Amino acid sequence: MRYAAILAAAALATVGMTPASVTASVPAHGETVAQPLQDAPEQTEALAKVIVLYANNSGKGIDPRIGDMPQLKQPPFSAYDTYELLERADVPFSKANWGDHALPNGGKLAFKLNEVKDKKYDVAAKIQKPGGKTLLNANVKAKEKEIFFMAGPKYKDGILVLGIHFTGK
Amino acid sequence: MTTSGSKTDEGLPAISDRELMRYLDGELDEPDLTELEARLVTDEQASGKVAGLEQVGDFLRETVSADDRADCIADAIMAQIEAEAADGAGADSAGADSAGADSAGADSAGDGDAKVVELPRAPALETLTDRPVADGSPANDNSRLIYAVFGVAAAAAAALFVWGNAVPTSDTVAMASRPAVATEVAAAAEAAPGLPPSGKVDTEAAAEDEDEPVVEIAAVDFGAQSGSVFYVSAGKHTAGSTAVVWVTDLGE
Repeated sequence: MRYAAILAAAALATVGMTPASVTASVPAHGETVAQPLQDAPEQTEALAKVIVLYANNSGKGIDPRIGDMPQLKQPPFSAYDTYELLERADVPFSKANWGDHALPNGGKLAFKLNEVKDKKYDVAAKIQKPGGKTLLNANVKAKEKEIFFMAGPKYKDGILVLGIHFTGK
Repeated sequence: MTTSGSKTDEGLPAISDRELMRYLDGELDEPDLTELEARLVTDEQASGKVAGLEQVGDFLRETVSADDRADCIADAIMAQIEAEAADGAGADSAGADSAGADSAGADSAGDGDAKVVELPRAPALETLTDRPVADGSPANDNSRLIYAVFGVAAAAAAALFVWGNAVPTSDTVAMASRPAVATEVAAAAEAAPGLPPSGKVDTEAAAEDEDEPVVEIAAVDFGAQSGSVFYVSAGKHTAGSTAVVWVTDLGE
């Protein structure tokens, strides 16, 4: 009987410790590995490689200059049958300064580096409308050269779709 | 007289079963009763049903009346109570004896009217009550089951403990953050009027993908606009998914 009571108490006590709470109290494995070398210089600058697309429904299909971008064939991107490449741009930015790029609609795309850790870029990104009004602010944490999209600014009869990835300057 | 929807061979509306049962129970009023009896002469299907219902009724009545096990329970219990009361008051011990086993109704110490009858017991009940029980342990001893449940719970908790320590923190963050994003996205996508008509958000892909997100949208402020954050598959030949921040530009 005593054994059963001890077993039950142990079970209840252990069940109360969820994996999340346990892992929160244990030093992260990744942190140990991720300790930067003391003599390694901190990365304070980065580069955003941006591809600016014009999405509309003019029936022209996907511009072959865009290259292989299967995401555009999936919803909600597939709601537009035409993707036209407007430009490719490199936008430098740093911890100290915003880096910005004028968009075809008169708006602005801007980035500011928060930190780089394990080749993962913590970046503040924003899109401004033509009048300077902010359309969106975002905090993005992206691994180097991994693309993500920011879409929606109005342009002509459609919208702008921005494919973005970060890399070292 | 009520009829069912179907018709007889003669083309007349068939008599409903409910009507036949009312007939057998003697609940039909005179005009309906006469009409139904006239119909039974010609309607073989209905008369067959009546015969069948009668047979079932007879069988049940015979069976129930033959089983009188429950009829004397109240008497037996009252006699037992009175006998014990008399025994406690120092009455003749014969009264107590009779209360124990005399099914013929021995005299009790009370007013003498009560009969003591041995309670009939069904075989299944006897089997249960006669089950050998170890000394000191109750008949409904579930302690082993309780111990087993606690044992399984302890094993599961230990497994979760080990699993939780084995998963890197970054993965834990990813798993915790992705479904939350997917949920917000689903709600935001519903609310976003500017999303393309066929813009179904691929939230399932985001929730099911347990790999560390290569791109995480940690925070978004759409200001006065509406928008959503979601993930789309990077293609059939690629396991990952691509983060998308989609804002609805109202063009103000």
